[in-house]
Amino acid sequence: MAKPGTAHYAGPWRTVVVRAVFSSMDFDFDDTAQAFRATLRRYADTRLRPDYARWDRGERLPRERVRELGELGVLGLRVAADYGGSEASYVLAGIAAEELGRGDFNFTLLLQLALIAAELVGGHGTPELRAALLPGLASGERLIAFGLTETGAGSDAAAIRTRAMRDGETYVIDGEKASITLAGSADDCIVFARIDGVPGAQGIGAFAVPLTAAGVTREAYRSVGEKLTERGALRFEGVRVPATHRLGAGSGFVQAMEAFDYNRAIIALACVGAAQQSLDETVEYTKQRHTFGKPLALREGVAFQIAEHATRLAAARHLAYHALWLRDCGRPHTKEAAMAKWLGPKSALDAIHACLVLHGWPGYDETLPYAQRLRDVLGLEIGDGTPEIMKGVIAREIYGREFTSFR
Amino acid sequence: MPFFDANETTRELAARINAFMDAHVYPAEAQYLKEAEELGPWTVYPTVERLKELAQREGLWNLWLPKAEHPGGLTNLEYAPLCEIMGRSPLAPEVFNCSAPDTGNMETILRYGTPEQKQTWLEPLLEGRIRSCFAMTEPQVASSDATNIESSIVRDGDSYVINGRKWYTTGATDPRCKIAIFMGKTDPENPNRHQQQSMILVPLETKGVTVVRPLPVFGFYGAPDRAAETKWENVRVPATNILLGEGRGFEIAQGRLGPGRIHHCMRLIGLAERCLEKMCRRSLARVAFGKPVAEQGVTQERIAEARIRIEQARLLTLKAAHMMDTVGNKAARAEIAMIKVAAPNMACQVIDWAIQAHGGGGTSNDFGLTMAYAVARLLRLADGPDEVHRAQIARLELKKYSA
Repeated sequence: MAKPGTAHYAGPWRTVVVRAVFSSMDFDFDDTAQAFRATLRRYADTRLRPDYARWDRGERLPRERVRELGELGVLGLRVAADYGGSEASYVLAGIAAEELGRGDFNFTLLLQLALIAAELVGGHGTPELRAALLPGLASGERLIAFGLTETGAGSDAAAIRTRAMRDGETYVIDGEKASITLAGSADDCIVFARIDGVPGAQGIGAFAVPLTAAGVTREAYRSVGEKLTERGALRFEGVRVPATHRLGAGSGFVQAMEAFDYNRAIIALACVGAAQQSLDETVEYTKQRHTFGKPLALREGVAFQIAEHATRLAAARHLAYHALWLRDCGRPHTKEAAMAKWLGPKSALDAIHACLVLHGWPGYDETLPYAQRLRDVLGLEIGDGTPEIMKGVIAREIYGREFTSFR
Repeated sequence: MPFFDANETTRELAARINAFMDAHVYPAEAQYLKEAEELGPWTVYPTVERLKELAQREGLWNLWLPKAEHPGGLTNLEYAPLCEIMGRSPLAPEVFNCSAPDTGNMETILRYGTPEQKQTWLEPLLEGRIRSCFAMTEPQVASSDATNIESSIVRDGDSYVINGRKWYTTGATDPRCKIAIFMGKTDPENPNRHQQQSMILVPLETKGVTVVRPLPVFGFYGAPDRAAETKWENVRVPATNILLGEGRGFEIAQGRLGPGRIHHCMRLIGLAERCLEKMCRRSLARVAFGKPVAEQGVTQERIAEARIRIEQARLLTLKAAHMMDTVGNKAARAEIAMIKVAAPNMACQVIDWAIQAHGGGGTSNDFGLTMAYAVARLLRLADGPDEVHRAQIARLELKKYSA
């Protein structure tokens, strides 16, 4: 894995080399990180937010938008430079999540999936598989879903029932994955399965499965939010994949999934972005909107709500960046990431809810984005671990494993 | 020499297995032996079932899975010290789902089985819900020369029809034993004697399969092994049950017996260690002719010699394991043959001395030494007798000097 802190990305607006330098208690992003942030802020303002409502009404994901994210360097942040990525820091990935979240929450999910796929394939894939998948992932040509959850297994990965049986040089995969983001549009899916019937964590491995393979069927859910990412079920019936598509197996592999704890901080920042945008809009609105002769902003019942939500969002934001900074330093961050993962969505939902109500009836109308943002953020209060699971993780980190009801 | 020190994976697992053995296995030995004696070879022993559940929950399960076949598994060198610990107790291998002949059978299905066969047989075996047996040795021929094996496997439309008589079909009397890997001739006329044999999966509940009787090993039934005699009369199974293909039985046997043999040797080393420990404790505790038995010169001589031989056998076994991992089972065949001679002979001698140190009690069943001896002595025959392995070693040695 590349040194954290160094990133290259090429965008249509400018090309920069990002070198984030971490020093003790430095809360500022360096110049290049700020440039990256400004680029994404402009993209969110000019390209993402104006179309946000369209995707809520059933329009499907235009692939050129994904390629644009690729050009911006968002999808290759954790891809090795050899395959067209930038091997950027996790803090930079957090910046991307926050800024995309301000524009269109859906696109933060594309970022997350690209981060996970890049590291799973890059870290555990065969050379052939890396060469086949990573360049397209970084450029935005290829969408790779993450297929762990099943109807009977989510947070408890060792309980999955999907099977992969080796047959000569191929594996035969049978099973069904539930609540898979991008089920409707992904090109490939990283499918977790029990290999050759080996029980326990020892038997869990993953496969990069092309979703065009014979025996794959997709079923779209009617999620109330995040509609662009077409969550759904993927069924695998006798699907054959070459043995070279296997990614790891064994208890070590399940433990390796803990390396993805940081994604919880990414989610927190996506939620904070959507909420901060709502709050910024509401600050402007409450300056303009008058009741009984004066702006809403002069009423403390209104202004104090803004103050409180701004405080909570700042707390969640700092917690999340701290977790990512720890990840960049190679230090434990499980607890901090879990804290961010429940506080981020919760603070965001509360803030957006307040923004909606402060707008009155127009806030309740689909012409304004608040209801959509609420529904979208709600999805990631669940995704990657519910608040209950997060608090269980935090409690485990505080009390130790002997006082934990799960492992 | 990379194998003097176990790596971190092995050290961590060894500590956990030792803790499990101390907490659960050693204290249950007396109860297990009582169950085996009272319930006999046709039943399941509740103590084993109880401990299996605990071991599975602790994740100390299927540790035999080879890294070469399953990336979550261990190399032979990583597994060797763990297998040795399990060999210290007669019930431990099954408790950890690491017992013969199931590990060899599971590995065979893992390597050569179809996805359907894996789902039907491998999954329940890996979960410890069923057991398996290996039907090779035959009472009417010298089966050490496996080309002698003469049971027939005849193709008839979409099935094969199997006829023959087998013994030392270890495990067949176990009521959970549901699947056999059966070896016999599909092509008795083939001029290449090594292409006459095939292996085929036969569910034990198929019509025509009879488990005739349990075979005692030095009078022991049921524990630690369940040797048995079996009869196969017009047993019909689907043609898809053939493993790898007709005439490839020897090929499978070669692949299967390498790991199987080394596992036996590792367990024997653990068994010898345990018996040496018993010998030391006993000779320290007993006084004869005015001083502890441990202070008698002949006892010390034997204890020292036992320690030397155990260390020698262990180093050779680890070398064989290392070679299997690095140059493959075929290139390691001389070393595998050497340990298959060295380990059982070493164990027989060490156990014999331990029996001597225990006096008459050593020949009773109270100290576990007679059962240990039965195991070690049988393993000078099972999986190939000493003579076959020595002949192979000699051939390989002579080959170096012949033109």
